[in-house]
Amino acid sequence: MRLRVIRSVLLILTVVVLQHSVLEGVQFFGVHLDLPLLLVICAGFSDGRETGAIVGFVVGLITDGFLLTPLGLSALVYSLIGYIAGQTEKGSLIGPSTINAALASLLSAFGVIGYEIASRLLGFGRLLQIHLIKVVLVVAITNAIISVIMVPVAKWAFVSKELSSRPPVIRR
Amino acid sequence: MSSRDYGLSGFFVRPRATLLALVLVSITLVTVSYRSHGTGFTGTFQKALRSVTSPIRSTASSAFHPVEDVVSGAFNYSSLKKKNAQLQSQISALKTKESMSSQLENEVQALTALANIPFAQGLKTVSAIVDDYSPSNSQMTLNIDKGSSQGVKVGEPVVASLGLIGKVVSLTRSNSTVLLLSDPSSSVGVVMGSSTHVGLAVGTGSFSSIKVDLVDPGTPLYVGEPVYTSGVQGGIYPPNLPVGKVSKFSSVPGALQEQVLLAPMVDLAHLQYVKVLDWLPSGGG
Repeated sequence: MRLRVIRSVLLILTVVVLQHSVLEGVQFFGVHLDLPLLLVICAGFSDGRETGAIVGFVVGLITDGFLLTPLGLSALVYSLIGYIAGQTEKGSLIGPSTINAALASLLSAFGVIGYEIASRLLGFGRLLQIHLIKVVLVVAITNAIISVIMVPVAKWAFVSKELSSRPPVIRR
Repeated sequence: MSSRDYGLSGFFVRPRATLLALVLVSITLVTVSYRSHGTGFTGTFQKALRSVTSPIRSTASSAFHPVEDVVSGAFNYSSLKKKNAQLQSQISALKTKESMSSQLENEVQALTALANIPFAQGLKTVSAIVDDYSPSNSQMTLNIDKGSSQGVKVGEPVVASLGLIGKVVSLTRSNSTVLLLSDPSSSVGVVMGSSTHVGLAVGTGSFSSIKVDLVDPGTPLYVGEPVYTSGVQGGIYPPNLPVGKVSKFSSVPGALQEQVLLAPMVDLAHLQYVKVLDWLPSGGG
């Protein structure tokens, strides 16, 4: 359990540092990659709704620390996205990587749009439609590709070995 | 779905209860943060996080710079190819020049230009180096290496050698966050060239274009026309700071305003040195 927490914290910090260092200058059609959002989605894929929501909240809160929008906005959106990602249910989770990639892509798009809607409701987000579409497409496609690597990494960090090696419990 | 998921008591199974708690905490934080306008404990948390992580981010940025270049190169192959061709032609021209470091020369030029900016005469300024840009897609800001201990204040305009780039929106003792003109939440009152026609320049989320709202139909415009801050009474910027040049305009019959796009005067995506002007709306310098 302790090892799992350490791995989770390490992965979250690594992703945040990567996003704010290596990926800061990396743009694809003028759009940044969004690793924190992908991490939240993969946490949900790996260990279910609860872990997805908690990781989403923590990552969102850290992300909010660097933004000018109100504290808690990213945490709110990311918690919901992590929870939805966790609907794939722990145990039956990690299907073929193509399905994970497609789901990661779809949820990334939801995440970007959800954040924009939440920002607009508070009078912050005003991305022009064309630019928003560009952001949604680029983030969705790049996250789908990177999910091939991120899903196993998230599984390593968020799933405890004792649980993952235990046979699934059949409920009556 | 198991049978215990049905009914109201089934709603509060652990994952849902966790989500509900997290959502409530998030909404509370958003509400407190929104109502306190970035002050109070939420603002303190954000400032503390930025202060603590600023050296880590700077160090990581420097350490990972070669990796960043490789990754950036992989994503921008076509533009690198184009730039490569341009550089090849520049190399042949540079061979005839003295063997002075081109980077040093550029930096000296940039600093000299910044030291002699004509549109900020008479105002006190604080020169700063750009630390990093925000990696977020929803916010276009950059961080500079000067903060409140150097006399920088929230709301002060920030300029580069060719014109306005934005304003300070948040600061710590040693660095500040600058909201760029290209951010969708940025708006600047502008005046078209030498005319008296005014408008409101609003960011589009793209570094290369800014749209101008509230331009009266029939306003005489031409491509390349310079646009300056209007500096109307109560405005958030001083007058006559260059903002951009008209890059595109059109009028739709029956529309209440012209559709105008500006190209920013400054390359907002690649800033190295900037100046913070000691000017606030209330004081006016």
